[in-house]
Amino acid sequence: MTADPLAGDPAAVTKLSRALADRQDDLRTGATTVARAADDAADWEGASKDRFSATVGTIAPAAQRIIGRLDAAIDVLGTYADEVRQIQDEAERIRASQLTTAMDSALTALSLSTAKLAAAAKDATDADARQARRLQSDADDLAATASRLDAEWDALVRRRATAERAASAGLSDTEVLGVAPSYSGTLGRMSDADFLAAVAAMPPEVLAAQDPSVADRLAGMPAETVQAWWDGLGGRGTAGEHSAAQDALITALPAVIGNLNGVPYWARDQANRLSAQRAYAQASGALRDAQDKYGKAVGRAAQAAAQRELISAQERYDQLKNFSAGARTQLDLVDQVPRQMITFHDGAPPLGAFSVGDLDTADGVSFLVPGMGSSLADTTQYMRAGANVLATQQQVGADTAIVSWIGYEAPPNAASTGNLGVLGETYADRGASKLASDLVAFRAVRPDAQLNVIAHSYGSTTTALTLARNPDLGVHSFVTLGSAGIPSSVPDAAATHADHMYAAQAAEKGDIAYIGRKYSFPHRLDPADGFDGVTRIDTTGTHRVNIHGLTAGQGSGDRGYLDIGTPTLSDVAEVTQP
Amino acid sequence: MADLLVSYSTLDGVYNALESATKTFEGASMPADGGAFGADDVTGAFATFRTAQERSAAWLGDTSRTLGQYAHDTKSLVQDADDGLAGKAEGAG
Repeated sequence: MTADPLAGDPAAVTKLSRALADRQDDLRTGATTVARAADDAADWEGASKDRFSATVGTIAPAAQRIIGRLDAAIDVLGTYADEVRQIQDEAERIRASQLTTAMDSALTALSLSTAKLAAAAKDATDADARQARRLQSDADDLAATASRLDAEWDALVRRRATAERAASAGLSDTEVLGVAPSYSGTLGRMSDADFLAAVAAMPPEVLAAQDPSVADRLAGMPAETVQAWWDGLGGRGTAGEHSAAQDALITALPAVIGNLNGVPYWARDQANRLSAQRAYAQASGALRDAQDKYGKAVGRAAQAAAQRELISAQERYDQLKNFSAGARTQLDLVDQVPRQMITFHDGAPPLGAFSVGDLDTADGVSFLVPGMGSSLADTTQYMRAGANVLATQQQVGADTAIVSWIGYEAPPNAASTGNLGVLGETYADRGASKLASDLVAFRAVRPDAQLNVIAHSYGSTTTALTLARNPDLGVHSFVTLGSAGIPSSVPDAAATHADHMYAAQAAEKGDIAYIGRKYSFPHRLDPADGFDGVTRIDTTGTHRVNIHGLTAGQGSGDRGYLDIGTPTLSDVAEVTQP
Repeated sequence: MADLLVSYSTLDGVYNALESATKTFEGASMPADGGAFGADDVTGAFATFRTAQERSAAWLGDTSRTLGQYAHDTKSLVQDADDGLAGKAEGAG
């Protein structure tokens, strides 16, 4: 496209530059405030401070880099505005001259035509001939002037094109974008190794600004590739000691790193806590908005719609609040151990998994898979149940961890919602692929650890499908508690590929597990009754289990499968420890 | 694991400062060119730059908010622990 020397508004470009300078001031103020927060935190000590310091220290340098990029852009815009202003001034001069020349040429042509007629007449004089020659000379001069002005205009068009190319190149430069000009174009064509090296070299604020396809490609990498790449960035690392490049990745792409198979669990934990905190902050805002909207709704239809929105916002808020609370809920352990948010998916519903114990180092790890009606709103409840298993194992000195895996959308509670999804296999089928993904990921980074799955209610349906479809997981013990039934496609314990399979079935109030199995379609089998290859776990005795839940409410007099004192808890702890 | 040592006022101060920083980062507007360049190539390059700037600053805001929330959560943790200890002390009494 031909450049137009008169196009654009240099005054507006200058104004744009000033607005960028104002933005710099705001960013400086923000960075100063963050630095003040870091200073204010001087008397804060402990592991929580270490995590705070690792991230807060990245903000001010990032803000300075962004300010520097604005500086570079301001320079480019300043040069462009000056050049466009000069070109426009020159263009206006040329256009004015061209207009004058065109008018003079027209008048001269008219006069010349008349003079030529006069000079050609029978009564023409010498003066007539001289006049015609003079006017012809004037016309020739004007034609030369027009030609010169056209050439000047063409040169100005080229000058304008040069100015535009310079501005365009300047705004695409590394100094302005913080990344090589053609990065976004070439990243997609890079080999995995080159792509990962390029990603690791980016500062966090630049990495966070990348196109989503960068995150998508990273998320699709094989666990082995990711593991080698991560270790190459400064070793496997720990929550306390790791490289700046690893920190940058965690803070810039928390939603990716938090669920990236091959990344160590301490890093996934840090990333997921960032993501979960952001999601929780957003859910808090959304709940306030929904409450406000409900309060202002007028008319039955509007109120009904606002109420649905409010219920949905409240549900999401409760889920994210309880999941975040998993970091601090009180657990009765013999020895306090790290807790790790090992996955978090901010979807509808939000899903995640929280470990009690260090998944990077524990000798044995058990995944606790919940059943009907479970959601992130129950995270702390499952963590407390899991902690009972862990505490029992700690009493004999075992180094274990237990993961409350709320990583699939469980069927809703049939009794309270009327939804009969628990009787089918659709939820289990969908959940099985998610559970498999997380178990495969664990195996990829911890081939040495003992891996167990403790599945409650419908969780045993989901787990049975998972284990049957993934024979190489190397599961040591598969334990079912109050199973809602094993799909007929998994006819015996051998089909789960676990080294050992155990089943506990109590005489539950309300016969919940029994009903789930009896009315299941396709019909599911009871792993605690004639299921070939299963060892039955005791639920009877003085402290017998009498409800379907994993734990009973305090003071209720009831006991769930993993309540302290039950024979089931002792047996589950024993068969899931190295 | 190191012991936690911190006062409520410290965590409140950190939270307030980071909330303020978050608002500042989020309020740092990135102007639009409004056709000032008179050239499609320059307009396109500026749009790319503008997007990168907005995303980078959004990261600053997000990270500040997350850290503020973290300080707030840490205070809740300390309060929960205090309440738990108080409850045990009452029970012992």
